[in-house]
Amino acid sequence: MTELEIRNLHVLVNDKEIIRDFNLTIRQGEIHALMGPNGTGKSTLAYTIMGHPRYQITSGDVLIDGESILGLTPDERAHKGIFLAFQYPVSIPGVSLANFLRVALNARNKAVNPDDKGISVVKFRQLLKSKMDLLKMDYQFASRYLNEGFSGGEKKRAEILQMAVLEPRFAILDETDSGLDIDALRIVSEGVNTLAQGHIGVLVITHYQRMLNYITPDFVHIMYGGRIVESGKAELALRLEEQGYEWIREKYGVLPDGIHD
Amino acid sequence: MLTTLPEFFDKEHEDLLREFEGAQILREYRAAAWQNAVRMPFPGKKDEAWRRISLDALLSTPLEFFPDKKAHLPAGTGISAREAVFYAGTLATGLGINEARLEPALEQAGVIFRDYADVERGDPLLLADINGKVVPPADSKFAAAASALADRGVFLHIPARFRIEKPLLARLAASNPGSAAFTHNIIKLEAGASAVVVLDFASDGAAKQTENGLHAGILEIHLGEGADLTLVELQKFGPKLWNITHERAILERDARLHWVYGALGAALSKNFIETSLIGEGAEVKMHGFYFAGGEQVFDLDTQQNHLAARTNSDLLYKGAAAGSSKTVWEGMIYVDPQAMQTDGFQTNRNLVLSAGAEVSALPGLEILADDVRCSHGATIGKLDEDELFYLQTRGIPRVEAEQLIIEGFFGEITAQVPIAELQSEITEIIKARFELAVQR
Repeated sequence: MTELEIRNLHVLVNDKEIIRDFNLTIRQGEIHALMGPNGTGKSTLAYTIMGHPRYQITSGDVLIDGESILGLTPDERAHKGIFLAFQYPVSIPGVSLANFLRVALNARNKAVNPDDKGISVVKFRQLLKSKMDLLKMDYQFASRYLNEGFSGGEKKRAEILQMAVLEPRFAILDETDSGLDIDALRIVSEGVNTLAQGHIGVLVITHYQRMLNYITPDFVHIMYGGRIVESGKAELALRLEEQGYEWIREKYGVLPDGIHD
Repeated sequence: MLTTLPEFFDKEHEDLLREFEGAQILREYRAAAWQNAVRMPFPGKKDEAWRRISLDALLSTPLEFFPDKKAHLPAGTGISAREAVFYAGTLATGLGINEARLEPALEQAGVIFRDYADVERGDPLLLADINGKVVPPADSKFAAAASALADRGVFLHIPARFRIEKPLLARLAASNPGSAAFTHNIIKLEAGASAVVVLDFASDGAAKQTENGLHAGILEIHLGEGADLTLVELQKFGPKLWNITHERAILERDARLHWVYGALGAALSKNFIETSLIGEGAEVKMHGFYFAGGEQVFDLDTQQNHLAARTNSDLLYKGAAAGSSKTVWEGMIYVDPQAMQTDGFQTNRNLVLSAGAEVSALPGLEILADDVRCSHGATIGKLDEDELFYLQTRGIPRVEAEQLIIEGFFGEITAQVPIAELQSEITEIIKARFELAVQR
């Protein structure tokens, strides 16, 4: 069983410690929800796992099956099977979603097998259409420039489409629910469920319970002050929905210096 | 005869002009241009349009003037069989080649698409009222030199109301390594005529070219009332060539010009790309792209002159600079007092791909009318780290991610090229330029 382990992780952003002694292990097929108030380091954690150069790891490790990935570039981490659905995906003018995804798929296939000659245009089109069907997306979407002029909901759907095509082993969904209306939320969530189906380890980062109504987590963690302070089952998310984060603040005190919105 | 440019213009060369046959009026035109070429000083640092580049190397290198015209033809300068079918007319001229072909229907309609020197010899009267009317020899020393000494060039004349659907291709070769070449190019569309023209400037494009050379040229475009021209101009000279051109279009009432300009080759390229909207309702779109690498220097001077009411101009130039290259774009929108209800826009965007590259963007407006809409903007930036990170998280290696972003950056311009095959050729050239830049 493949697993993604985050071990005693400490991360600095602009000389401030945002992640402190974070520990979490996600096995393939498990769905974890990571919840917590704004500014507790959830997105920082996501970026750090992907290898964003702005985040400085002072100690700890991130491992896949016991092997550290900290020395790898973001693309190499993607080749190891990690995927991040961004909270705010950037737009790339002039590059169509289809062209970009084909380049990405070919890059991954080539990394796995150096002799890979690349997927044919016809085969790729078939693959893309089947994945777009899954997410109930209009085909013309594929020829639009990547995220350029996409609505908030369209961007999120495009993120999950990328996940569907690239078939990662671990997916981090960073507030994928924000910006989605209730219908889109259902479609996207069902898409994630179909893709995961026990094959993917998923980390759902969210403030709210609502996405978890569709994607049932095996574990729920509350992140506060740069680390996980509470872990439990799905009921924990329901408690947050009812009671908010106030009890967390009371139990663990105000945020340490340097961690705020 | 191996001599530097200053030495060349210091001597008497009337005998050279005698080589050019043609009617008396053309000989007078060349002689007058020659007088200008001799009399005018070389442009230099004190001239606003020239102060950002250095001509020192050009002026101190001995060059061959009028080398053997039967010099070998560099690969790729002729017209391929596929092109011959695709285009309604083709012309290849320079470096000992002179091939012109037109579909019979065009020929019957009176379209003329031939080498400039050829027309001067065979049909001199065609040139009599066109020569120097758009780009006068007095424009600069180099314009004068090209006017006086051009031994080749593209000549296109389309009679009134004749509309050519399929595109025309002209391939102009200059120059031999170590030599100076001068070209005179003319495109004239009479009232209501229309055409799509590809103008391909090439020398021995392969990196083989080892000796410096010079091309100085003028391009005169005249669009009659309601004429409609789409012009795709590609400068793909070899890496050791100095290229200096004065290019101008005059648009009469309701004429329309879409001018796509690509600068890719040459060691140094200084180009004046100007449009003058002299008739009401005239409209020009100017799209440009340039990609400089190594030690290349590109200096593009664009001008949008609104000289009549209800005229529109819209310019978008995009450039990338790698290695220790240098690019300059200097744009000007001029609106004459009588050019009321005019729209003039200009935008220049630049990507700086290395720490050693130097990029300047200098937009300018001179507006003397009050009922106008004009805007200008310029940006200079590096590749966006967040965009690169995003692409990398999808498994695309850094260099490929850079390439994809650059392709997208230029895609906005290449999408304007109306010929699909040419679009992909340009995309491939840009890709190759990038790969070369990465290797360095």
